[in-house]
Amino acid sequence: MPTGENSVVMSCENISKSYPVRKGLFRRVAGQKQIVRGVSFELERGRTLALVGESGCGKTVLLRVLLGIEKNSGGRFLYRGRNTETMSAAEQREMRLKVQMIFQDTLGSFHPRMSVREALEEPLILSGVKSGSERMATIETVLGQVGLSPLYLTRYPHQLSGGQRQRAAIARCLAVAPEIIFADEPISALDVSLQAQVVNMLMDLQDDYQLSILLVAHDLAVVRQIADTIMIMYLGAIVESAPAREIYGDARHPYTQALLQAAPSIKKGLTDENFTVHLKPGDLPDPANPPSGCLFRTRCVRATALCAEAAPAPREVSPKHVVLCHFAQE
Amino acid sequence: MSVAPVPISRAAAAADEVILRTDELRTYFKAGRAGVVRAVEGVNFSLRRGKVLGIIGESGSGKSVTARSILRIIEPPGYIAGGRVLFKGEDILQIPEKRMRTIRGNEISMIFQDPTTSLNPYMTIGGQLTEAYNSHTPSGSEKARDEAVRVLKLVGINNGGEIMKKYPCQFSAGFRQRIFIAMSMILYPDVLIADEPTTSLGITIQAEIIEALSEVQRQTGISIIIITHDFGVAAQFSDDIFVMYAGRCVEFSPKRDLLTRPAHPYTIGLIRSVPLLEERKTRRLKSIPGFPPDMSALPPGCPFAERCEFVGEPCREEMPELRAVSGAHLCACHYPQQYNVSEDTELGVF
Amino acid sequence: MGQNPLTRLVGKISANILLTAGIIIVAGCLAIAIAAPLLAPHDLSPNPALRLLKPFREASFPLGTDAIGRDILTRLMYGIRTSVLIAFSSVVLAALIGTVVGVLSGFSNPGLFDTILMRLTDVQMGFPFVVLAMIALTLFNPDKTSIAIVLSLSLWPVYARMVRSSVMLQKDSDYIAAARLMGAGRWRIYTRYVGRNLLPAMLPLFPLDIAGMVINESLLSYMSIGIKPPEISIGNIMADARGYIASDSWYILLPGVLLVIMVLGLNFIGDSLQTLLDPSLRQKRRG
Repeated sequence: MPTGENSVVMSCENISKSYPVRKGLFRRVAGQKQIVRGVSFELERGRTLALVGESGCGKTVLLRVLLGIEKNSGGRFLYRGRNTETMSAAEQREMRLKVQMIFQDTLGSFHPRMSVREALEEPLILSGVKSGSERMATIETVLGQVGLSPLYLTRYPHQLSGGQRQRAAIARCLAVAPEIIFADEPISALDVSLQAQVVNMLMDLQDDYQLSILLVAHDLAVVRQIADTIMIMYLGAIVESAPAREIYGDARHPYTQALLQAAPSIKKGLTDENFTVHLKPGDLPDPANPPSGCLFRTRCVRATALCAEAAPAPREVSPKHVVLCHFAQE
Repeated sequence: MSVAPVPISRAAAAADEVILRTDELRTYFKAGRAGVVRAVEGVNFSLRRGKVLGIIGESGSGKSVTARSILRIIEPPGYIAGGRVLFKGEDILQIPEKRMRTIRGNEISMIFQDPTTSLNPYMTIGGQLTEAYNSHTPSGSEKARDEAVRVLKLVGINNGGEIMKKYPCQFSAGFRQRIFIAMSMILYPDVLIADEPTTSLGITIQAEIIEALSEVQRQTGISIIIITHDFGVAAQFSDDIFVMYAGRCVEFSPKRDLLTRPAHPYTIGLIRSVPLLEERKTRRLKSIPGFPPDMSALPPGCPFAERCEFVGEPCREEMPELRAVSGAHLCACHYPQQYNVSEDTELGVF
Repeated sequence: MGQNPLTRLVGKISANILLTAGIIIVAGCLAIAIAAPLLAPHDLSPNPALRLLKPFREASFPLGTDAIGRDILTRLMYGIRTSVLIAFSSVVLAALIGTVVGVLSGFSNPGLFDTILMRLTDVQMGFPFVVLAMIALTLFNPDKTSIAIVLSLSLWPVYARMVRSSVMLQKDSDYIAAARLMGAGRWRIYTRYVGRNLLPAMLPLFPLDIAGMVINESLLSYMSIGIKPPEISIGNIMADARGYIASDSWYILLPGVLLVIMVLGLNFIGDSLQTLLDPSLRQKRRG
């Protein structure tokens, strides 16, 4: 595995995204709703970075910003060390093809009136493959990689099962030989017996092509299987970020600890461990009106007066293990 | 938390008494001119009084249809094609619809997957709770209100009086699911069927909801059927587990036996393929090859035969029956396996 | 599966009695509209000797003659020709305007441009059609072109709104995001992705709207603000018959019944297309 500075394929620094909150008859801007708060990370070649958070934490918006579907309000991206904003149009186009996405809703990610064949041909046409037979050859290769029979080429997306569709979606990504894959909950809509197939396939592809994967997920067990580095997100901020081993062995942020405790597991069942949640009851705060001090303090069981006064600064408790909590060292 | 007296007599009942049992339950759906989809085909399981039964299955395995068949709320083109559902010893598939209505909600109630659509958006929480109470035991609004507050407390909502004046849209999905549990508990039914109650919620909210269900169970001694696709949820919350595949029984057993010595190749495959929270497995997960079968064109014999590594001659011809492999551990397989999870080197954590 | 798509389509159509009936009626009307000068048994000159012949009496004038002795069958054929031409072109025009406005509006939403366009359609929708027609047709010479334009003015907001909502729904969809990630440009997304869903959504509306426009055109001509003689439309045949309702009621009934048949045929087609063209509905019918 290549390591070191030059193996970082993509990084982002202090990315934030906020939406104006409009009020009144003239839709005056009355405030800002900050959905993503200063997220920074580095994605290394051939590695998997997982972004874990519950619904409403801003992970989907972050993905859309990273993909350029929405404009960021602050911060910058670097692709292979180059700032994406100062890139030429041609470079941006080239970068786009190198970054592909697997969606959670596989049905929605295919045009309902395009056959599988058309859908798979589309990225090839767009990347400039002129000859039809050349395109067909590539399509057959990628179908082989994902284990989908060419018989399905004439089908429409709604005629495939969830597992087959997810394979087709991955095949569509692979058609343009990407370097980076963003996977938004790629298996949570799949049946249990198929999840393992897709997880394995992603890992095989990663090995074969040195793909970098940014995995967005909520299932900590799946993440443990795939991820090299994990970021935990709460209310738009990364509250803990660490190598996978440390998240599971030495979680420092109370939210990470609560997530691990709440995650269901077969082993917990065998030791007769009941479901417990180490959180103060309540809902996720409104991003337009976040709590003072630490964002997490309204749900934190360890919160003190200090937490309401001062926002914690990120602390590196061990190499690459960064925690956003006043009591991270304890 | 103090909860006012609950009809507690059931808590004292015999330990292994079966309160609900299905016997060769079959539910079919008409499809096209002559076709029939056998969504549930000969399902047998039993629910012990005061216990939690987890029904595990993938989408299309017929687990939800089974639950709806118990309450007889199958909509056309579906219909119950045969079998029995014995509730307290009586076959409730045979009783008149009018009596069935008094059983629904009153003795067996159900909660659903999507808490955002199961409550009426135009009615206050209090209105819905008191209506649920008065629909079966008309006894005035004062009494109903008290009951509503009490039942809200049961699911961990202490400011019930305040909550009841509000509308469902003012609460989060997780909170609405709690309210819905309270509503289904207001008449202290004997059985609660929870159909994927946490699937659309986040991890911590899922844990909160199941925590609330456990608390309800501990305090009232109700028997619960929880339908889920998540092995972890079933493992942590249930006493017994029933596994379904393609509308058929696979395995039914007390939890510990099923988790440590699964006998059916499908169950073994599932347990081996589930990623573990506690350990990164070897580089690859053991996956079950192939796809679930097309329910409208099931081959004869065992529906899992196509994907099974232990498949033999009889599997493609004859559907195996649910037979005891040891004690209360039942398995529907021609070749039940001697598999021990703790000896599987790839699952070292057990 | 595996079958020739054409055979499958024919099979589906014949399985649907209403659609078959609709297609026969509409095809008949179209044939008459196109070939009226060839098919018409008589010319259009008056013949005072044959005033108000009753229908179904004489083989050479199967539907009788009008007040100045012209063959009614011939006049109805030319009437169909005018009605079909005007109704069809007004719907096509309305769909074109509506699509352009809807696409621009949908893609610029939320924004000032979208707001302006939508208020414009609101004004258009709120304005009573007959008043609009009276003003416009007094200011301009009421010929086929101007009537088609007036009719389409009343219809385009419906298409604009439909297209706009479809565009807005689609532009945030994952498949558009996926297309953009593959490097598809704006034009390709409009035509290949968004556009592909628009035509199938609009197609079932066409027959229904053509039916509506046939009626509206007849209404205008009946009110004598539409097609003027010597041009013939079903509406002004009925207008001619107004004076004879009491004595010769068949005279006004003939064009009336023809109108009803045409509208029914178009509606049959429209309803059937709706189920045939929607892949999800198709799926439900099969499953």
